[in-house]
Amino acid sequence: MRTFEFTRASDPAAAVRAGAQAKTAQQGADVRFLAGGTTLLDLMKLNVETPARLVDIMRCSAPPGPPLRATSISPSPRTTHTSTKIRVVMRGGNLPGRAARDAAGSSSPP
Amino acid sequence: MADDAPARRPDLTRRAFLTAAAGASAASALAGCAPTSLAAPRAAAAVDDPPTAGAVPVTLRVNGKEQRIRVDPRTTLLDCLRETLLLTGTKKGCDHGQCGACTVHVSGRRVNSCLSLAVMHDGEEITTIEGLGEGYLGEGLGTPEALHPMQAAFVAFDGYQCGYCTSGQIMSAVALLGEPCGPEDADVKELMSGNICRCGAYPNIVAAIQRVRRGA
Repeated sequence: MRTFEFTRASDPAAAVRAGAQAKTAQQGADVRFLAGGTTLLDLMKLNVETPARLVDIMRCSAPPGPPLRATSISPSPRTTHTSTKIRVVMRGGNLPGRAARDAAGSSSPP
Repeated sequence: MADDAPARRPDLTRRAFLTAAAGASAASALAGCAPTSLAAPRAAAAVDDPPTAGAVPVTLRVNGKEQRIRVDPRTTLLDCLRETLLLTGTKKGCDHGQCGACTVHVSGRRVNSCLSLAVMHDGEEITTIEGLGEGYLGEGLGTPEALHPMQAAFVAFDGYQCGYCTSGQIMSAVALLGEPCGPEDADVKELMSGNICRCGAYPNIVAAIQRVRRGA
C-alpha cells in the first residue's frame, strides 16, 4: 500500500474543503473519503487506489441515521448496514432484498 | 535440546517457544545488525520511544486497557492488534474483508479489522477474542475456566474443526446477540454470512449460537 496523509474531518464543511483539493472526484483522485473502509482499503492494498490523502468522515457531526420513507431507504455514506437494519426493523418496516426473502421463507431450506 | 524427549514445562507455551526460537535464529543470522532489537519481543512501542518515520500516535482501548502506540498510518487494525499489541487471537484469513476471520468489536459493533485502519479508531474501545469471558485478566489472557457463554457453546457443540476462523466466528456471534435477528436458523445464517468456515462446521456453529440465544 502506498503511504498517505491521514486526516479526520470533524464536520461536513471540513470534509468538503478537503475533497476540493483533489485533482478530480473520479478515478485518479488523490483525496479519498474514508467512511469505514470496506470498499476502499481492499483496493488500496492492491494499489488500485493510491490516494495521497485520506479524509476520515466517520466522526462528522452530520446526523448518522438514514431518513426513512415508506418504500425506500436513503442512507448517507457513513450509515452502517446494521444501523439501517435496526432502524427499519424497529419501525416495523420490511427489510429489502435477501433478508426479506429469508424472513419470508425461513422454514424452507436455503 | 539435549533431551530426546522434550520436557513438558507448564510455563513454556508453544507460542513463546516459537517466538524465542525465531528471534534467536534471526539474531544469529544477522549478527552485528542490531541483534538486541531483533531478539527482544516486539512489545507495544511507548509514545516516549523515538518516532519512526511517518508514524502517528494512536490511543486504543483494547480489552479494557489503554494502549498508547505509534503506528504507520497504513497499519490495519488487524496488523496493529497482532504485530504491535501481540494479541494474536484475532486471525488474518484473506486480508480483504471476505472471510471474517479478523472480526473484532469496535465500540460494541463487529468490524472486519483487516479493512480498518488503526488510526481510524483513535480513542475507541476495541474488544478481541482475548477480552471475552469473565476470566479476562487484563493482560491479554483469559482463562479456559471462565469462558464467555458463546465460547463455551462453541466448545460444547464442536463449532470448529481447525479453529482458524473460530475467533472471528465467536466475535460475530457475540455481536449478533445484540442485533435484530429472527428466531430461525436461517436468520442466524444470514447474520453470520460474513464469516466463512472452510472446514464446514456451519451446522454446529448455528447450533451453538441458537443454544446461547435460547438461554439454555
